[in-house]
Amino acid sequence: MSPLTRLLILPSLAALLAGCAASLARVEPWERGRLAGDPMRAETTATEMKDWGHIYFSKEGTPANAGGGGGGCGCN
Amino acid sequence: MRLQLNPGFWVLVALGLLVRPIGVAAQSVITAKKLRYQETSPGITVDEDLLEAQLQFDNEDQMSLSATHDVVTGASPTGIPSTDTVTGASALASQPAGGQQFADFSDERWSYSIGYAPLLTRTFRLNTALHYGTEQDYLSRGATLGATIELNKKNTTLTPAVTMFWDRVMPSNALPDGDKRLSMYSLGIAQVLDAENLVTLELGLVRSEGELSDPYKLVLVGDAALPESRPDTRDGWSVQAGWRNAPFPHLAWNVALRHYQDDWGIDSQTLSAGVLGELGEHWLVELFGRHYRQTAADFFARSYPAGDTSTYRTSDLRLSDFSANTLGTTVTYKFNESLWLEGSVAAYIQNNPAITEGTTESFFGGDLRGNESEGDESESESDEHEGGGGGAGALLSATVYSIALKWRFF
Repeated sequence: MSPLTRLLILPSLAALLAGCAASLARVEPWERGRLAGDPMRAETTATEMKDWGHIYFSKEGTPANAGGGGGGCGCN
Repeated sequence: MRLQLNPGFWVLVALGLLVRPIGVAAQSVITAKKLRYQETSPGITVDEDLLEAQLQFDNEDQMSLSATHDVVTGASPTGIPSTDTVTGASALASQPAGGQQFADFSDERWSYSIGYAPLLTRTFRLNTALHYGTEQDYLSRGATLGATIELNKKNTTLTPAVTMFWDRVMPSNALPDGDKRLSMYSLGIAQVLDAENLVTLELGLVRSEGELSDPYKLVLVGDAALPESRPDTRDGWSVQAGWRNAPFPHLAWNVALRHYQDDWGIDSQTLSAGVLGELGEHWLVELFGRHYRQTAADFFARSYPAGDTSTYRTSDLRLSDFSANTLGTTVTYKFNESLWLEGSVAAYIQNNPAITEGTTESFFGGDLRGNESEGDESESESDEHEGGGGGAGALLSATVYSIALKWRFF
């Protein structure tokens, strides 16, 4: 796969999925009580935490998600 | 105490405090955290201090600052099978599961990140960040450029991002320095389905180039221990789908599945899940788990026969075929809406057929970073570990503890 093809994949998928999403149900801001609560917040959950990202990056063969726990040698 | 040693950490603290009077609005959080990652012996221990500020100004622009300090001590597998004396293929064949020798090492890592995310229009936020990290033998510099785009009355959120790292490996043994570049392209999509359900999809491409071999890992070729050798490029892609559901006002659960594969032959699948519940006014409790599995890299082997002519070789267990499980819990006490105390404990267990109890005695009689051998002490540790047995399917097991204080501004 050429670098150009690779670069075009993500924006193409974004356009496709955003188009599909427009036809989904819309939830108004005043209906989002549960969605905005602490148990639903991504930053509250352990699986989203950067320190776990770095542990997995250092001990496993899968690179870190972009922006999440990467950086560093991960040697030893 | 260690935090006092580095002025950069306190510069970040001062920046955070200076920012407060400028006008920090809702959604701002400052976190101070201590974390310990401890493997069973022989293994490593990591003590981490983290300070992080996520600030939102009156004009809704956001800024993030973080500083992380890791102290790593202990021993890690070298790649060399754990025989008493390596004399050839017959000795290797007698090893039950290709367990490896361990080598002592220590390291210290400082990592900083600063991000600024201006809200350019009501529905478009630009995300920028710079990353900088140092280890005794490693330098990492990175930058992120991305965006948060809200669509459909904020029911759909797109988060495209590009992150680049320009790293330098400076091995403390005899191997030469090398450069490494990492390019990550990602696109996240979050979709609100209804008042209780949110689904996410994240696509990622990652390209690594340059010196990708681990300078401290060896391979055994016949009787000779040689540095490992990996390809100088690696292309991978990933897709992750997630679902969050709040069936009750104070309870939510989440599940995510990730698939990754690359041209080194590694395929991995990750299933992670969590349940979070609020107990009364003050308590928030989370149970979380994760299952991970991967295939081995095409060029991985526990050892190589004499005369092997392969271009690429590694016995690094992280590139082997294994599975891993994480199980943990986090309990948060909210003194009030602004001050939270969070404690977490988790177990991480890797089921790797190539690991046994091993030995801390290095193949060269000293550790792999070129430091002096500890002589008698090392020898006695070696005996102790060998006495522990080992065998097929032995486990790498670690415990992770953390405690954090969070200040939230409204």
